[in-house]
Order: sequence, then C-alpha cells, then structure tokens
Amino acid sequence: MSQPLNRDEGTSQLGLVALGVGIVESAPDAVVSLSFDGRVESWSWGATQMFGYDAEEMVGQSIQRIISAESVPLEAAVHARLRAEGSPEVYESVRLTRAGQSLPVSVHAWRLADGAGGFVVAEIARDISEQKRLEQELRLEATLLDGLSRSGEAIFSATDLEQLVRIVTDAATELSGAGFGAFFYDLEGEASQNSKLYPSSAAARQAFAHFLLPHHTSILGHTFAGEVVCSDDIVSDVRYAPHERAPGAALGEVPLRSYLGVPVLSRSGTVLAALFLGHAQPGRFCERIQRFAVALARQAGMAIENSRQSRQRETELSELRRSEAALRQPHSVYRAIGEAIDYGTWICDATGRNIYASPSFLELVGMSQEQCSEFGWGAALHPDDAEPTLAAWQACVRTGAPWEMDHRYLGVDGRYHPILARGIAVRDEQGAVTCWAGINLDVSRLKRAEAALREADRRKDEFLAVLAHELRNPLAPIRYALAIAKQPGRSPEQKRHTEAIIERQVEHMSRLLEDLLDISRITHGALELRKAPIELGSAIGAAVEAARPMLDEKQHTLEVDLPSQVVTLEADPVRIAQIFSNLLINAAKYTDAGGRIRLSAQLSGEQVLISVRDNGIGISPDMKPRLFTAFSQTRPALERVEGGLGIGLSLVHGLVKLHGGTIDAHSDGRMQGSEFVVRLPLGLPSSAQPVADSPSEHASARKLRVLVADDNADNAEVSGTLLELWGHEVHVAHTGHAALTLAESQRPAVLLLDIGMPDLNGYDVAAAIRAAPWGQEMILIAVTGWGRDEDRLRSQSVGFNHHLTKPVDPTKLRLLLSGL
Amino acid sequence: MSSAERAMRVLIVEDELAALELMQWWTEDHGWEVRTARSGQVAVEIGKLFKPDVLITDYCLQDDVNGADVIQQLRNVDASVRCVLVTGLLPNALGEDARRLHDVPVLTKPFTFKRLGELIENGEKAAAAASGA
Repeated sequence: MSQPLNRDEGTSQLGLVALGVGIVESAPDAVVSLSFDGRVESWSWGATQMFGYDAEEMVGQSIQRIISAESVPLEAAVHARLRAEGSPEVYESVRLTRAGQSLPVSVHAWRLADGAGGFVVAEIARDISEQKRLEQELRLEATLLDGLSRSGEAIFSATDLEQLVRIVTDAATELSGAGFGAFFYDLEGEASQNSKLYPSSAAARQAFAHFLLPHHTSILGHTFAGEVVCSDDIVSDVRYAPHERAPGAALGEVPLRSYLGVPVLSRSGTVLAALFLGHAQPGRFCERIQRFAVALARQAGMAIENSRQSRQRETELSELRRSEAALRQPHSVYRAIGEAIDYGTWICDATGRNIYASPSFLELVGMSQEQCSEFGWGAALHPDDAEPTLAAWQACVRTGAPWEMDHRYLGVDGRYHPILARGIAVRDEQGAVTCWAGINLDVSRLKRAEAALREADRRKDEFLAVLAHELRNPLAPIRYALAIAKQPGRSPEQKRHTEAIIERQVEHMSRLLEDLLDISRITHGALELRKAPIELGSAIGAAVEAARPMLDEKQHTLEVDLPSQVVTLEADPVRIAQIFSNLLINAAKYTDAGGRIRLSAQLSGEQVLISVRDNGIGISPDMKPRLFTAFSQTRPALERVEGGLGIGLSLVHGLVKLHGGTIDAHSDGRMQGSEFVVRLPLGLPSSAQPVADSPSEHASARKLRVLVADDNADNAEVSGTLLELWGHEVHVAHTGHAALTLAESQRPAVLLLDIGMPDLNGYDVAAAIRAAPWGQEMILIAVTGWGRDEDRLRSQSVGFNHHLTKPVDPTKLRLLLSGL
Repeated sequence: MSSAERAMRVLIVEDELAALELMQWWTEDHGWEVRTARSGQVAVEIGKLFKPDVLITDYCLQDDVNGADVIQQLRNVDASVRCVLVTGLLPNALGEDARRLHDVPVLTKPFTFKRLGELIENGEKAAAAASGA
C-alpha cells in the first residue's frame, strides 16, 4: 500500500486539495475561514447562498458584519478561546443576512496552522432556522394546550359571568401572544345590539374602538353570524370595508394589523358572544392559534350556557320556595277557621301537588307533610276510590273546575273514614291558577245518619207492605162471609159459621192493632205497667186461652209444665199473659200442623225461667240477630206468609224488659224447632203461699154480690154465668134504669156497668149511684169497647173504680174480683 | 161449550182456611165442580189429576211453591187453563213474577165475589170464542 502511495505522492497532494475545494464549494453549509483578528479569508458558495453576500464582498471584511448584535459577545468569547486553547468549538448563534433577517445557525469552528507558523480559524455554519421554527411551534403548542386546560378550570369555576368573560379574554390575549383581546357579550342575554365590549386593556379598547358596534360592521358581522374570521393584515382585507372605518382613523393610525374573530357558540350552535384578538404586527395568528382560540371560545360558550342555566334554575327555585312559603302561611285567622274543621284545610300547587295539609288530616292518616306531598294522600285512599279520585283530580287541575269529592281515607286506626273534600282554584290577576285550596270535611256522622235513615225508610216500606198484607188477609174472609150470608137459602149452621169467621177475623185484626199501639207505646216509653202481686199460673192460663184458637186450628199438642208451688210475680197480669200468648201464637204459627209445643217453668234463684219450645221451622242463624227487632220480617218471610207483622217478638222483648226480665231464643237451625226462654224476677217469697190460696185454682175466697148491667142480653148472660161459676151472687139488668133500681134494692158490692146502654148509659148510672148515700162503697167497673186513656179518665171522673175493655177478659175480671 | 156436557172445574188454592171455605161455598153455589188445596205443592198435584178449567190461587202459600209457580206448572200441563192470581201484597211486591205472568189477572184482597165472577166469565167467553173460531 505504501509503495503506490509513495510513487503517486505529488499527484495525490494536488488531488486532495482539488477534492477539498470541490466539497467546500458544493456544500449547502457556509464554509468560511477567518484570520485571527476576525477578517474573512475565504467565503464558500454555501456562505453566499446562506447570507446573501458573495466572496468578493466579504473577503477581507470583518465577520462581525453577519453577526446579530445579541450574538456578538458569544462569538467574541468563542474566538478568544480558539486563539488561546485551539480546541474545536461547536455552538449556536444568530447571524444576519444581507436582507437584514436573523438566521439561527449551528457553528463548528476550529484552529488550523496556516503553514507560515501562524493560525487561521475555519468554521462551518449550518442553517438551523427550520429546526428552531419547529421547536418554537412545539413550545407554542404546549403552552397553548397548557393554557387551555388552565383556562378551562378557571372558566368553569368562575362564580359569575363577568369574571368568566375576564378570564377568557385575558387567557386568549396572553396565550395567543395578541396585543389586544376583546369579548363582545350581553350579560343579560345573547349577543345583540346591546352587547358590551370587554377589552383586555385600555389599549385594546382603543384598538377595537375603530370598529363600529357589531352587526353594523361587516367583518364583525361574519363572526356574529358564526364564522371564524382571520386576517393577517386587516388594513388590506377586503372584508373590512373602507367606508366602515371610523371618521378620522387613517390607515396609519389603526393599531390593528393581525385580526382574529371567533364566535362563542352554545351547544346548539347559537352565537352567545364573540372573542376578538388583535396585534399591531401583521400575520401573527397562525392556524394553531386560531384552533386554540376556537377551543377557548367553545369552553367559554359551554361555561356561559351552564352559568345561564344554573342562574335560571336558581331563580326558578327561589321563586318556587318563596311562593310555597307564602302559600304555607295563610292568614292566621283563616287558618284558625280551617283548623277548626275536621279534617282541616289543604293547599295544592298549580300542578295539583299537595303542599299543605292540616295537622288533623295528617294525624288521621298518620303521615308527615312530606309524605303527603309525595302523593301519600293518594295512597291512603280506599282502593275503590283511588282511581276515580285521581282521574277526577287530574281533570280538575286541567280544567280549573271546582273540586268536590266524596271519598274514604284509611286512618291510623285501620278504619276507612268518609271525607268530603271541596276546593277551588286560586287565580292571579291574569286568571292563571296559582294554587288550589280547600277543606276536608269529616262526614262520618252524616254517612251514618244517612245509612240509618235509609235503613229506617226501607224498614218502613217493608212494614207497610206487611201491614197491608196482614190487614187484607183477615178482611178477605169477612167480605166473603158477608157475601155468603146475604145469599138466600143458607142454613142456620152456615150462618153461624160465617158469623164465627167474621168474629175471629175481627178479633185477629183488633189484636194486630193493639200490638201495633203497644209497640208504639213501648218505643215512646209510654206503656205503663199496672203491677200487682200475681200468680204465674193464672197468667199462663190466660195466655193459653188467648192462643187456643190458633193452636186448635193447626191441631198442635200443647203441654204445660209448671212448678208445684205457687210462683208469685210483681207484674202486670195482662202484660204477662200477653208475653206468653204471643210466644205460644208464634210457636203455633211457625210450626207445621200437628206439631208439639211445650211451655214449662222452673225456679232458679230469684228468677223464674219460662220456656216455650216447639218442633217447628226453627230460626236460621242469619235471622237471629234481628229476631227481637220490630218490623224485621223480610221479603222471603212475606212469600211464606207465615203472617204477622213481625212485631210479636219485639213486643214480647219490650214487655219482658219492662218487667226487669230477659228473653233468649235458641234454635239448632231450620226445621230444628225453636225455644224461647223468658227470665222474670220473682216478687214475694213463693214458698210463703200455699197453693190452695191461688185464685187460679179456686174462685175468690170472698163471695160477692155482683150486678151485671148490659143491654146485650147474651153478653150479660155470659158474664153472669161465669161469675156464678166463680161462686158469686149475680143479678142481671138489661137497661140503665133497671141497673139503678137493682143497685138500690140489692146493694151489690160490685157493679159491672156497660157504658153503651140506650136509656141511661153507664156514666149516668155510675154518677147516680155515687150521688146516692148508699152508693159510696160500691165497686163500680166500667165495661166498654173504648180503651183509650181519655175513656179511662172519663170513667174515673164519674166515679168508676175500674175500667175493662170489651170483650172482657175472664182472667182479668177474675183477678180483679179476687183482689177486692 | 164444555159446560153443556159437564160442570166447569175450578181449583182454589188458599192457605187461609176461612177464606178457602168461603170461596168454595161461593163457587159451589154456581154449580161448578170445585177442588181446594192449601199449599202450592198439593195444588200442583191435584191440578194435574183434576185438570181444572179455572185456577184461582193465592200468591203467598205455606210452602216454597208460590201461586205464580202453581200457575206456571199447571199451564205447562194444560196451556188453556184460565188463571186468577189473588194476593194481599202491594202490587210491586210480586216483582219478577208479575212480569212473568203479565197475562194473568191479579185480584187484590179483599176483592168482591162479583169481581171474581166477572173475571171467570170473561175468561169463559174468550175461551168459547177461541174454540168457536
């Protein structure tokens, strides 16, 4: 290798120099050599390209010519080090081109021997302006992004709009490197004629003052129409119409050259405001800055919108709170009136939501006001009422019609309470409904009274139907009998039969009427008991006698079982007989023909228990609770025509109670027979009286002289016969005069005087007897068809001691005489 | 006319003995052949065998078969039977039965025998006209 090198050494040296010169001259870098005092000794093609000076201009000149002022100290220091130490240096500097532009360069410099014992400095400078530009852009990007994130935080934590506008304007101005920033915004609403300018500084105000108000200026108009407008030099921009320039603002005086207008949009795209940036130098707003400004404007838009919405919500909320508070506190007087009603007052808002209910209502349903407002009132309604009530309430709120609803609420006591709600819409001056107000009325008493009235009315109707039936039934045979009797050719037997029928029916109807009147008297507390010590056996005997026709008609067998000793009661003998005749007739009626009825009595402590038992149709369980209620027979009973007004048992019940006793009914169900048990308090100690003394067993111990006066010979005969059978001495008179004569001559102890005698009536006879000196001690008994109180009073007033109604009850008469 | 060959047959249904007896006497006075019943069930049984021309029945009877049921059941046997319903109830108390038997004359107690006679004779004439046509 060394051989050829040595052989070609001369040629090779020349070749190397030529190669070096070729490289230097063709390199894009500037290759320059300098003397130690800084003058240019060689200047490459690349240097000419880079700095704009050619070799002729530069060789012999100081390198200072192309060094930017700020880099002079740095370069001077580098050269000093090269001179002293000789180690190569690599550094960055800024040079100046011939055109006066700064050019960032990277320089590689080192020391070379010049062959004459001295040194020269060689340097290669490389243009790094593109690298610098990229670095700067990256820095800007980072700054902008960082700024955007910080401004975002600040914007969204801004407490009011003015602060927000200030943050946006300042951030935009600062980060974009703009000289001026401004924000057009109407704080009260959208961007409009009334928009205000929020400048970043006093200078900005002056700068933008050259623009007329938005909408009047076409270049601003574009932005207010939603367009981003960027102008590198607004002065020469066609969009900035010359005629719009403010008067006196010559082009040279306008401090604005670079211009950027960005609309601030809502989410839906409405222009809320506009952000403007300006700079005194042209071409300052690159695309990156435009994007940044758009992003910032978007943040601002969202923040403005949020702020506006929350402000609106707050306003609405506070209005609502104010109106609710006002509604909750009605005038104290009206409130007191409302609270005095059960269950108070209520208020609902215009949408129908309850906002107030009186404590009395809340207590009733066991709710707080909050629960009630959250529709608790609807949940407390009776299931059958809930749906219609809600539907009606919604309709009411829709139409504004007055509210009236009858419904039931479930109370904390577990029962439903009938409440009548009423209310009306409260309206403002424009007629719009502001709220609803009304009352809740407790109508339970009303409902109960209504139900009771309806029940009473129903019973009355039923009773009238039964009464009609019960009166017509006996009337029918009377009419038939009369028709039959009128026909010629009837045998005496047939005639007697028809008469008997009429008598029975009339008796039946009389009993019905008496029962009815008695029930009425018991109901009104007007039934007076004529209590006396009586013997149970005789009362039962009278009862059996009264029930006998009914028992015989249905061919029932009656069994009577009384205690062996005398049972004495302190009671009204007529009423006691009535109690048991009713029970016997009842048993006969509700037992199929040929039945068995048993009446038994036994002593039990201070009481006597009397049972009437049959093997009849019995009592169904559903009938039992109403058994002793008057007029309780219902329609099914009607169809069966068991007859009766359904008052018999009620009457019995009332009479037993008046005597301080009780009555119970027992039955194992339908067709199982019935048993009625009456308990009556005993009067005197029963063992004290021997059986023989009982008037029921024997006629009165005292033999009396009795005068019977009756114009009806048959009646007189019947009474006379009975009295004789009882052991009395009897005289009979058929006229008033005869009675008076006999009374004087015979001086009877007792007179039975018929009132309705044709010559002298009973009153006249009695008055005459009382007027006679011999007539003071006589016992006068009136016998009349009239049993009213006024009749009794009248007979008393003329001197009668007793008053008996026709037909005279033999038991009653016997008891009366035995007591004398 | 059937009465030329035999007497008219009348069935009376009434649970009240007195009323029944008297109606029986009155109808027998007309020379009619009369049968009586005091309960609905018995009435239906007698009616099936006796085949009455006229049925006079009380509405309320002592068993579960009322007068309307008796009419219905005997009409099922012989549709031409002439019926009179007798009742002491108010007119509206008959309810559904009144609608069911709208063509049956109803006599409210206490009616006169004259009125009952008219109803029976009218029915007789109508029946004669129907059979003559």
